Amino acid sequence: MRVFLKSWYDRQSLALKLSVSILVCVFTVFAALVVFLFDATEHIVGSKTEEIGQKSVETYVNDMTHLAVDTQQLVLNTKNMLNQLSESDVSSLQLVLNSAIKTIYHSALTFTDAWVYIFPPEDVSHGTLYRSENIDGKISFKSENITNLYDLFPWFKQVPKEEKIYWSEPYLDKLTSKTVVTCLVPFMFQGKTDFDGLVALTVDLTNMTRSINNFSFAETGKLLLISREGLYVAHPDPNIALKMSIFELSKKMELPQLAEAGYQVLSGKTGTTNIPYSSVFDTSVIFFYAPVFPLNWGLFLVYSEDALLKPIRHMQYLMILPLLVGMLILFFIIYKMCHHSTKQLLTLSHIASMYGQGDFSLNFDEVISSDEIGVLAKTMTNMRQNLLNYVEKEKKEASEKQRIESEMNIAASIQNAAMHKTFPNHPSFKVFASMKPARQVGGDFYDLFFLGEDKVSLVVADVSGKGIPAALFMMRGQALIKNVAKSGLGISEVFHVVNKELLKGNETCMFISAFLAVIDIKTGVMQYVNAGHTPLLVDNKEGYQYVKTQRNIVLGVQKDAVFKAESMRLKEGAKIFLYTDGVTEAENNNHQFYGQDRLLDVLKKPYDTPQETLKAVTDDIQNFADGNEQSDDITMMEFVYLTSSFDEIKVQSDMNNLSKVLNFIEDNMQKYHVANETVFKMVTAAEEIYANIASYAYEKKEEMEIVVKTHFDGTYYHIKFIDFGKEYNPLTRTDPDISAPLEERSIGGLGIFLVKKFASDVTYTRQNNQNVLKISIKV
Amino acid sequence: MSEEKKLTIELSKTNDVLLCKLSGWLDPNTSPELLEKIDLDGVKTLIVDMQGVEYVFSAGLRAFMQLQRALDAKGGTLSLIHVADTVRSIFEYTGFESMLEPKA
Repeated sequence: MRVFLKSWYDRQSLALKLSVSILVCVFTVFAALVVFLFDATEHIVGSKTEEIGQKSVETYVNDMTHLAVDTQQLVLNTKNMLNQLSESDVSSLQLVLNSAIKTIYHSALTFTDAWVYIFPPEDVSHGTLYRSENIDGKISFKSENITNLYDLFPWFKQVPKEEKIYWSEPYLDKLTSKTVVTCLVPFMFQGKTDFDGLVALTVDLTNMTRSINNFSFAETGKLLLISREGLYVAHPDPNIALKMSIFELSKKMELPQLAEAGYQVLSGKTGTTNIPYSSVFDTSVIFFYAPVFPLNWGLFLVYSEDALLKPIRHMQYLMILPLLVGMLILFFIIYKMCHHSTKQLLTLSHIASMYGQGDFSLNFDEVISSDEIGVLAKTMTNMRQNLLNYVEKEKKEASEKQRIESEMNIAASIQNAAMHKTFPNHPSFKVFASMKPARQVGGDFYDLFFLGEDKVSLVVADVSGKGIPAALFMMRGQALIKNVAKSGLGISEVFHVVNKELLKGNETCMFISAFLAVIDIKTGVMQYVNAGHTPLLVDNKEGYQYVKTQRNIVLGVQKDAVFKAESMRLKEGAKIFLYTDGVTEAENNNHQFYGQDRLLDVLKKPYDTPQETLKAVTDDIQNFADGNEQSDDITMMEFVYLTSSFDEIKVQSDMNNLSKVLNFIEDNMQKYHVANETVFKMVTAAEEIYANIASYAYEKKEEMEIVVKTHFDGTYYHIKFIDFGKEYNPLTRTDPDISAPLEERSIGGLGIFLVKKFASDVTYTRQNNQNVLKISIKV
Repeated sequence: MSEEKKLTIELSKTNDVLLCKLSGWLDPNTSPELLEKIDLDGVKTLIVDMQGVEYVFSAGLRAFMQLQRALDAKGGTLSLIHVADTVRSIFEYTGFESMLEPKA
């Protein structure tokens, strides 16, 4: 039950909880007050009523005591008068009795008759009875001889024979049918020593019993009167009055308390007996009793407390109704008040949850009370403003961050574009390079460019620092090196000039370590200069090893620095590996460097292509780093020198050597996979070109030379015919008229015509007293 | 990274001579700290004790170069002492050996 109540309570709204709580408190206080008040009222009323009841009983007791005492007094007076008579004198007796019966002291003191019974000394049962009767106010006197007194007054048997007042039990007078009681006393005439008779007064109890029966107290309260023997003298029930004793009734009703009360009062005690609920009375009753001493009777007041308090209880019930109505009204008022407040709380909660979802359209303006809820609303209004400001700020920062991010991406792609992604498919070399920046943009770079037809330049460099500043400096350095190198300076001078340029306005002291190599692919001779860069790795058909290079200072630091160049000859199949310190300084979690030895070890394994070599090194570094973040840009380049793709033949300009030259051209073209059809056309053209030179170029044919140089650059096959004779441009010759009849056409000129048709480019130059005819064919 | 390599810098100044004791790594993260800590105001001679330095990255070289420039401008000198062989080789590769004292 408690659990159920608690769970119910938890589920209710604050307004209901508050209302119920207050109501319960108020109700408890009121209920306690009501109970206390009613209890006190009952107590006061109860005791007051009891007091009144007891007072009434007292009055009745007093009245009866008076009656008894007065009656006794009268009887004694009569006896004294008779004592003074010497012998029975009827007239005197009548006088005495009449006067006695006439005496009315009190309304209750009504004597029905007064008599004197004179009996002989030896026998009481028969004698003479003189009697005055009061029948409805008329008094008569008569005398009769009694043969048996006990027939007339059965109770006489109990009268003791002594000079003492005796009260009979109440009895029904046969003559008048009234409830009476007789008070008597023996007497003796003057001069006698034994009793001569009895004098008696019979008291009418009718008035008294009627008064008692009519008595009503607190609705059900009644008076009961019992005689000395416990006989009911007065009882509301006529079947009980004078017919039953209290003891008999107690037995009949099985109420021993009743008998006990009877004993108590007859032994002269005053008291109260409470009888709890009994079916006899259909309620709980209280008996208050008091003795009537002269008669040794007892008077009871019987009343029911419930009945006594009935009007009060009724009033109490009447009071409960308005109390409940008041409570109900109170509940509604409290509930409305609380509900009004909590409704505002609900509104606040609703708006706050909308804020939580990012909707700031609603404000707290409608909550304007100045109580705690108003304070909360004000706080939340401030919070809304702060949140809006914060969101605005966040938006700005996010867009700024996004802008920087996108700019960084653009920068990265610009930088990326500055470095080759595809490498020339050259017959003389294979090359591959990669740059993996630590951040979005890097400070490393590599470059590869041709200087003329037969020289290729390789650059690998590293700008101090990382990120945007390094990237900017790198772009500058890369462009400088390339442009200066292409101007035709020697490599020492290239770095000298670049160094000077970089020093201009280099406030931030940035510098570049760089390695520049220029390889003559015709001869395999490599010239290189190392400006503070990592060592060179070369595999000149003996396996990779580090080559000690001339040390020079980095670029961008020292004015007038001198950069010493060196050179070596690469054998066919030789490899060189260039890298930045991002390779050797790659770190693992134990702060160990990847190092030169590991690099050398991995390079010593055989790979088919530079791509594979670089991939192997990259993988090895990654394995070594074991998840450790890359801290520096990693750049590598491998160059493999295959073979010289420059061939030439030098012969005396003699027609005897024609076949030698033509064989050379045919073989050489086939070496570079030129199509057979093209080879045939070329050989045809060459025959004519050779014949022209041999016939016309020289005065002294036997001394002069013809040089044929070929070169395949991967795309075009170039062939040059060089002679040192007089100036002659075969291309100026008019094309033969191929539409003319055969007999009219000149023999020469067809070869050149053919060349013009199939070659991609044909040029003639005259330089250094040489005729140079260059033919380029796309392969 | 499991644990950052730290650079510790101890400075002691006597008249116009500033002795700077370094230990740890001079990398892109720690080098700017070196420049911040060293105040060349009133310093003619800067002696950098490299005994505890395990490695110098290019950022470290740049920091030394900037110090060298600042000292050159007011006729001061920079000397690096107790340079370990591994570190010396870095200076040599990059052509910065003029900054070092002659090898003992």
